Amino acid sequence: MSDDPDAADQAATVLLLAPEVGSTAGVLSAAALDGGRQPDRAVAVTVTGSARNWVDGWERRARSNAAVTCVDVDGATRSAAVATGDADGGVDIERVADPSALEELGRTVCDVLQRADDEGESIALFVHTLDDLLAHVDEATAFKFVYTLGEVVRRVDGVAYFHLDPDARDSETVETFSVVCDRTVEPGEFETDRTTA
Amino acid sequence: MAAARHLVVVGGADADATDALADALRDEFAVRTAYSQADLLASLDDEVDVVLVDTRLPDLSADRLRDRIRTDDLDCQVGVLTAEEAETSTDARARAALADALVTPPSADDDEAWRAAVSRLAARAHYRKRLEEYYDVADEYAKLVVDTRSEDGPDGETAESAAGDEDVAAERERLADHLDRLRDDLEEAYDDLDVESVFDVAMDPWAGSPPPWRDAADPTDDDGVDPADDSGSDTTDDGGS
Repeated sequence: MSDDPDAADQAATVLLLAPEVGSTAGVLSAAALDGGRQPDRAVAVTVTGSARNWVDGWERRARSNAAVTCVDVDGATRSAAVATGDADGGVDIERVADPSALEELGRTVCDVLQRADDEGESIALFVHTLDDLLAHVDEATAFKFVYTLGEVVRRVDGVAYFHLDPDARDSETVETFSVVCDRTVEPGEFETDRTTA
Repeated sequence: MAAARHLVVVGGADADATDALADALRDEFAVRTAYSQADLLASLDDEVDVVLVDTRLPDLSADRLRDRIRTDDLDCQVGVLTAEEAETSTDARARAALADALVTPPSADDDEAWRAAVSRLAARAHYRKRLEEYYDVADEYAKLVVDTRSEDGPDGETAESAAGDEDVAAERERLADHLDRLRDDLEEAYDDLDVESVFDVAMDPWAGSPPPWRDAADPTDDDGVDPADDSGSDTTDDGGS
């Protein structure tokens, strides 16, 4: 719940407060890592936005050669072209059909993180976005999901970034998710360079 | 201060076997016993961490048990007691209805294994309860922060408002300390869980309405128990958690 930049090195969970990111989600994710440790593997959870769009933005902006895995939620409604576990343009993609089934989503992400940890990879996890999850579950459920996923990430020495649009949420909701995360960052604290998107 | 003991309810059809199991568990847990569904439902409250229920319990309705736990927001974990090799169709339905909370019963005379199985369920219940509390306190803290922020204005401070500010600051500090303690407790509780099941524990498996098992409602499922009879049974409790 700290907003102290000095706490960044110890933070396992970061609340990324930024306006609706849409097609620039990958750009925002990559920018959030500026000045910090670069991961061996970036894991993106995309809900309403597509995994492909996230990867496009990430590849334009990322300053590392991190391997990428996407957990695409509700992706079947957008495209059934790629099955779970398949690779799409060199990116591993896992599918979760129901965005309200957070048990399944959590287990899927957990499996991805465990496999990466077993390979000795450092990990950055990006959840785009909490707003999309909040369209399917209530705040209490999303809160418990964020906490538990954060504990999973903490135990593999990774960092989890949860995006939330502060303009789309009331102040109490933003503050509540600030409590469950180790650190909160807002636009201006990093340069997204959206012109590259 | 010693840690509070987890509270277990053992609901069994056979009184001798139920009492024997309860005795085996009392070394580590506070235990209540029940010999009918009415007793079992009457023994449930928010102090209960684990329910062990025998599918041969007279008039058992897994739906009724789940409904009661869900509507009362009881963060207990349920284990099903039945010998798998002798499972009847009723047992199978109860197992299906309570599948997320299932334990495979150890052999009847393996007290240590029983205690280990109940400990696993108690660890799950503990994590869920602390997580629920963490959200509640975080929500309260957030409201206070936002209210304080919105009340900050350009007006000059009066003695009355200064006293109010001190109260708010004290309350904010109290809640922040509470959150710190909960985070420490949750971190320890997490370590007692299997990573494979942690999201099953964290997410409310019975949230939403109506519950999916209602879709396959069995007309024989009427347990014949009047909800008004849920109180006043002869459950025993040798100490709460």
